[in-house]
Amino acid sequence: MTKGRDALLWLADALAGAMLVVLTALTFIDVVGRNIFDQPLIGSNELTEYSLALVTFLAYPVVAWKRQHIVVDLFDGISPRWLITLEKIVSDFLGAALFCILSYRLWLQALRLESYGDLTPQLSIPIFYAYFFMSVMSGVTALTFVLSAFAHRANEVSSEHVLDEVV
Amino acid sequence: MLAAGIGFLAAFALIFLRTPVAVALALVGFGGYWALLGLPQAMTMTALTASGHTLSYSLSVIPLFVLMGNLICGAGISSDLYRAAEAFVGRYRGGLAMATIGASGGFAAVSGSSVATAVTIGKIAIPSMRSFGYSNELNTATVASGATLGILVPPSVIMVIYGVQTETNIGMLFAAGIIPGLFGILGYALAVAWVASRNPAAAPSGRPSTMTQKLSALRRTWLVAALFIVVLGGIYGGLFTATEAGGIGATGAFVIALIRGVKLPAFAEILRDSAHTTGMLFALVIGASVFGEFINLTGADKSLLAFITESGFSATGTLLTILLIYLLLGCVLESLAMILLTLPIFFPIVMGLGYDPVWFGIVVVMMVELALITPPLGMNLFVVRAIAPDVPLGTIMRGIVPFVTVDIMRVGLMVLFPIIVTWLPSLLFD
Repeated sequence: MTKGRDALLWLADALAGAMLVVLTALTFIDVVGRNIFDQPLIGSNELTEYSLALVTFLAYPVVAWKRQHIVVDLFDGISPRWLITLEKIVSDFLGAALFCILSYRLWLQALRLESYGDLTPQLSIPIFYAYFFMSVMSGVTALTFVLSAFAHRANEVSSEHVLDEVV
Repeated sequence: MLAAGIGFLAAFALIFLRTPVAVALALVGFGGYWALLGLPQAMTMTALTASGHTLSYSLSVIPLFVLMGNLICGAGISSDLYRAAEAFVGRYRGGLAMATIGASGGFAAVSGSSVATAVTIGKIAIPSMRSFGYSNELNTATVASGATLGILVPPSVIMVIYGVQTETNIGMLFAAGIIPGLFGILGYALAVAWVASRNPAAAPSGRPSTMTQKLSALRRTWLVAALFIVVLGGIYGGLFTATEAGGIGATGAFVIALIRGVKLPAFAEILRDSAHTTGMLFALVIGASVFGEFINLTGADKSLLAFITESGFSATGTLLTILLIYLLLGCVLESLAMILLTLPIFFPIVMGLGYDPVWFGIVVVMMVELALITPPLGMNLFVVRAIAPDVPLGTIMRGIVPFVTVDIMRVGLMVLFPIIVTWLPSLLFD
């Protein structure tokens, strides 16, 4: 169980990290191609958008599981432990609710886009794939939030550590 | 107006009850829409906001600048910057503290994060200042305040997010940050000089350097200078957009990391951290945008603006009130949360009063800088405490007072003379 979970987390990280490299390379090749060889990268904009969807929606379950979202822990010093635990559990369910809504609505959007047959302008990639992906990963994220609420973890990442990385 | 008020209260309540800021803002926005327009509309708006902000070319700038900053942090260039600054000003009284400020400014030129600047510079500068007998008050406060330059000197992740949320030109914001950033370096150096003059024992002079040493130390920082010039020069020279500059910067930072011998496992770690930060930031931007949609729907910004103009409040008075609110919020809220929560209401008001969006962006960033070092919740104070665990928080807070003072004076200067902020961007873009 733990092994499978860690493997999934590792996989999501590896894919998201790889997409970041792709994202960087897309911009670099496009800019160099346009300025030096007078030949911009065809479809770089739509590929960038697709990569963004992959990076962020692969990261959401991981960030949810590791409780890395920014929280304000102003009252942690004066709150009893049970209250903090309760707050964390309630927050996890709120997060799950949000991503359920997203998953449901993005699925409907995906179905509609599939029926319209919308394609990206330059490379003619069907747009609905991205929506199905976002919908499925939202569902996975919602599930992760629920699992996170029930998981008892002794040494989880503290929020101070999380804040370190943002601004 | 009432709906928006309830929305803000609900958002605050959720945030202080430890709900992730992104989730709190999105759910309140969703709930507000539901209450005003109905459930299907609320669900559609939320999903459209999420997909629209994800499949968005212009937002690719966020992960790219995050990645650039993380690569630069991993490349270990902070010691070179510090040595170079030390070679030039180290022999003066308080010189090592001034060198710390200078190195922070230099690091900020290739990194968009204040906390990253505090960590990387602090690890080098604090042990060095200690070995020369600098007081803990001064060395921790110097690192904490110098690091705030990370978000003012371009590139800056906070500016990018401000630009995205308010549709302000990111290239202009970057340009506008340069001169206030230099004022910041100058102001902090003055604060150091003031401390040194009052208590010479707290800030002794370091060792002198010969001209050869100075030049060789300076030469070692060329990679940083080159990256800064390529990224900013490319934007202003019209070679690429501010969005693309992120990709160029990340590529450059990748090359620097390779040159500096960063190994594969470290790269994997950097990519992973960057992906997580990207997820966090996108969740925040989406949550804040959903909240913003709701605030827009209530028209609270317009009614508030109408109220302000009709009741004869002066523009200056309103602006000062907003700055005061930022100062207070900065004491209790995380800085990104503070910006994203307040922009939907403050930005239209400030624009309605006729202020410049680029100028307001810089002022907001400076308020965040101030929030980062203002007790009790200044993030940088805690970061520095993490680097120097033996220094009590109380000592750091005492030391920070002169730096907070010059920061407030600097904000005042930018408010009184907006031209300091707007001159460079108007020169480069008009």
